[in-house]
Amino acid sequence: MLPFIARRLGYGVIMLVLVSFVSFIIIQLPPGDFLTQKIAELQARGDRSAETRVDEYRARYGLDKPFLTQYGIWASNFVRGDFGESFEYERPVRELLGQRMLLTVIFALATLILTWLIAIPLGVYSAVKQYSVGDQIITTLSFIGLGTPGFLLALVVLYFAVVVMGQDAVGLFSREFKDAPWSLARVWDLLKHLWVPALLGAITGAAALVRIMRGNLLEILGQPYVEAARARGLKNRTVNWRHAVRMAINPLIVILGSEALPGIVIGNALIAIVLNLPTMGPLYINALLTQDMYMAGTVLVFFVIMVLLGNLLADIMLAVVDPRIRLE
Amino acid sequence: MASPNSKSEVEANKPVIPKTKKPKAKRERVPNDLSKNPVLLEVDDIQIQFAVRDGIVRAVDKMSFVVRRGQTVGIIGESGCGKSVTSRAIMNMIPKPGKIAGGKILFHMPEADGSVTQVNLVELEPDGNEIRKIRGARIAMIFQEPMSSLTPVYSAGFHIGEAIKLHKGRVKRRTIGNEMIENIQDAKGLEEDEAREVAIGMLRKVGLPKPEQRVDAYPHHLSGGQRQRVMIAIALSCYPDLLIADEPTTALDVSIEAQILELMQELKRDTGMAIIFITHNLGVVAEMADEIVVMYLGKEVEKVNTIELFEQPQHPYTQALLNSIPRIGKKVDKLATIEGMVPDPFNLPSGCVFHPRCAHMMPGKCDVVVPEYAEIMPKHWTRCLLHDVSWPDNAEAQALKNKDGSIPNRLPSLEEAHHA
Amino acid sequence: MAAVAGKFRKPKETKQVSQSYWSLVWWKFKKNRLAVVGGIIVLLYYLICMILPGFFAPYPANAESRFLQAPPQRVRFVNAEGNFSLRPSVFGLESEMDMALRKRTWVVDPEQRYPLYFLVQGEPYKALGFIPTNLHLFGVDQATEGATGFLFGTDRLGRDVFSRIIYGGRISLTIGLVGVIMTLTLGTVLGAISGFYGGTVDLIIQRMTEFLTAFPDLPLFMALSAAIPVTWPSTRVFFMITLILAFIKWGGLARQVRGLILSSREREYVLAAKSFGASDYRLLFKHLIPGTMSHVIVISTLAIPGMILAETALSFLGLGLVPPTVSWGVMLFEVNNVRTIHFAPWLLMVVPFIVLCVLAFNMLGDGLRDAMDPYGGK
Repeated sequence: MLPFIARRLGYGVIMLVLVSFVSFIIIQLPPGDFLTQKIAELQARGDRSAETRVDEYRARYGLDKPFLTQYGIWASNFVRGDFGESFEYERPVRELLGQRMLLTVIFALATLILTWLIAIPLGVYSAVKQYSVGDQIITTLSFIGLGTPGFLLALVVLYFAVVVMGQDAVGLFSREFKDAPWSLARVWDLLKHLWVPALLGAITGAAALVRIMRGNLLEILGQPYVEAARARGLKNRTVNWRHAVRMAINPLIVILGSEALPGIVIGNALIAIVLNLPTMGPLYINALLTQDMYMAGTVLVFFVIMVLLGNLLADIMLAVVDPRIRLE
Repeated sequence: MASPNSKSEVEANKPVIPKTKKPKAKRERVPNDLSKNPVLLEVDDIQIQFAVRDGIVRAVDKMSFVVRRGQTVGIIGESGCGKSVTSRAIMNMIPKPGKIAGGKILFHMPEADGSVTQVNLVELEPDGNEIRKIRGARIAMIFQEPMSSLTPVYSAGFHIGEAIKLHKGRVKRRTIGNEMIENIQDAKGLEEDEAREVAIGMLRKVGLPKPEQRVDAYPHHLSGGQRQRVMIAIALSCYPDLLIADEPTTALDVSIEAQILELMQELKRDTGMAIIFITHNLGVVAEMADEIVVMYLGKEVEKVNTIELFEQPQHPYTQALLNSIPRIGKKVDKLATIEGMVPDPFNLPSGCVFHPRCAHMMPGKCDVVVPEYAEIMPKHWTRCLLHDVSWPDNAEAQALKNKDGSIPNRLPSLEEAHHA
Repeated sequence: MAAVAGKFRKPKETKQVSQSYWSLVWWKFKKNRLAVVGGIIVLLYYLICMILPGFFAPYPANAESRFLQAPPQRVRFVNAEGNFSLRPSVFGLESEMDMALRKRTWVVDPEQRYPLYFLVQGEPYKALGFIPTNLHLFGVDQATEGATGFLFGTDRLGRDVFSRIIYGGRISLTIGLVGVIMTLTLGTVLGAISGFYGGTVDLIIQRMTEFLTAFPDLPLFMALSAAIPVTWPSTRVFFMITLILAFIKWGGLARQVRGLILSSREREYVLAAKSFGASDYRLLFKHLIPGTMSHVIVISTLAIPGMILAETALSFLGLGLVPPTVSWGVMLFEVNNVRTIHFAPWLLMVVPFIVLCVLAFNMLGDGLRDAMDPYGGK
């Protein structure tokens, strides 16, 4: 087991390096760089000292050095926790990310949990009571859910919140807790607000998962070992859950890692942009639009880390849960 | 139309039971007289139907047989003749869209105190408490595919433990001898390590080497033969009164098959349980069964004890089956087959459903009159117009038969094929 | 088994109806009502949005008017006297000044009534790209002064939302289709080569696909799209976006095709073909790849909505297509703030159309998947 984890971690690190390198290249792609924009901006504001400060900026951000060196510097700093400095806000990226990272992870986790809480019972019901009225309703709903990505729903929710209910925004905290230090009350406030965006993010994933669960379970219910279990005198409920669902879960765990998680990361980013949540999504888009290189690069790397970690965890969980996989 | 065969021809045409591995102890093939044993299971006029889009398919049409304690009844027939469905009916586990449309299945449950409780299995609520107490504990079943009859994520020991803990107390019943336990279902469940010990014991009993290690093995660690042994161990762990074996060795190599069959015989001797053995393999059923029921298209066509079936088959279908076994020592140009194919259930032949494939078909009769199922010889049942019962005006039939009333073993293809 | 389906008949030759694989697929597909509905809706979308958008849309996509952010003019069935009439009509718009908000708003004016006519003459356009005509499915009488028929209202430049939904659909659907075709080609060929040849080629291609799929695709899209210079003409941007989308998504398809090829490679029919001298090229393109076609078709159909949504998301963020190109995402870009939602919520009318389109594709793809597997299920 241990060499397996070690190998995956090593592989993940290589992935990260590659990804960060590619991100760096991509961020640099737009012609000109941040500085040319900034100068134009400063000049527009009438700041005449702009041109003299250019060299200062260049030196500060190392933009005068060749590309590989820039990357090298950034990468080595990154490992030490220095993610570079944001051009836009002129503060260290790390400072700006701050709590947003934690909230992004919490948001993703909440979405994940909700997805499963919705999908598994519905999927099982749909398969066990195939073609019943409930099944047809669930199937229809899941189709609709598949077609309604989170950010579209977020727009609609925003509409309701603003126009119909008269609020001015949908966020993760109430006003008083927004910048407050952590406390139990703040956590409770977060939870009260979190479920709406998490639900939005969970819908598409849950819809897909319901269908997959239903398909898998239907196939498994026709397997001989299910009939054999019933022939031993077990209750239907026991047969369904202890034997059938237990087998159906395995491929779902794989899907969880490989598809569900990246989808959640992205979907949540979009929802966060629409609803203006204090997570990494809105920062990322802003950084892209303003060519804030280090910021965008850092966030991208964090997204990828989340995904890779998720994959790793899913693989480990699969090995734990499925004895057929254990001997590698 | 036919002359009675000469004695030598009858001799030569006698079906030979293919040799199977003989057990070490010398065993004589005498008919077991089990007729004194108390009745264990009575299948009475059972009818099973499947409602499909194009109509209703009668998968089993009025089947009746009796299983006594300690007896092995074999059910043979081609694929799709309804034998598996019958076994599911006994456990009340017929898959949708099938259902039992008529008849009774009386289970005479022996109780701890020596009394017998009669239960009509058909009337029990499917998947209800009553039937689940019987399934696994009183009537157990082993299946055709050992590869996939065990849940892949649970070990062998887990499966056995699950069965034991579910039917708690039952195991104690036997180990304590005849001592009564009033409410068997309320007896204390076994502890984890107790259950494991019992599991190891069962695995040892079914001949699995190193049972202490195998008890934790997962199905994908075991070979086909080993998996089937585990299945048997699970089935027997609660000491059932009746074991239903649905083609248990069809998926196994011949050598493994022989071992498994021998194991089943041994266990049967030890526990006194009855077996219903379903197969399409005549050699196997000859080895295992005391009495045989032959099925075709959902109907019984012949029922009699094993030896008489092989020596004096009375139904042309049975004869054809026996003739299609290749015989050692006899040179033929082509192997005998049964002409034609199993008909489409929605396009059945008129009269006797077997008549298009029958070597003894009598035009004008067999395609018009439906033969009745009757006991034409003592304890020998069949349904064929060649026998008096269903067709009064049968001079023609009389002419066809041998002096002793049996029907001659004639198949045109065999006649052509045989060298003198 | 005996069946009760009528009197016993003499056994006769049953008719053998030989059915090709595709006719079996079609027959099974037809039985799935949801899938058929989905297919019809998809066809309607393509017909209305791609083939004859000019006909179905009463106004051109970018025709600005003075009716800025006007609310929808609901269709009513009354005549001039106010009684029920079969001819649908809309009420006109009048501008009002909202002093508190310092904003000019438009309200519906019941005094003005514009009947809707069918097959009406309107703005000229080129049907199918080259036939000049000015026939529209419906519209108001152009001759009447100030007649407007904005069924879904207008946006901040006075453009008809309903027409923009149709024209926007053309772009979005095209991206979806073209993108998937590109992905299909790239993914199938590369996946097949990878699976067929194995060895180093396989390893390289596999690593590439792993890398691509490990990258959360939307951030990558966003980054790449941000890299597109603002100065490029819209058609080039359009092409680039499609290319980017396709290029990133082929990894998933390639992996699936590779798996399929791997399992088919050792099958008997391949060995048989090889044994009478079939070349690799022939094996790949005439045997193996066609064998994967049914899976590929299903996967592609289900990938189209993903493409459409990806473009929508990108443009919505301002990173994809930009005005004057009109796509569903671009239309949503305008609604990207609370203020607009508050004052012009009808701009969200595009959302149900997007959802319906994706829904239809999913139902269609699902039905295709069930139908292509003639041995599975009921």
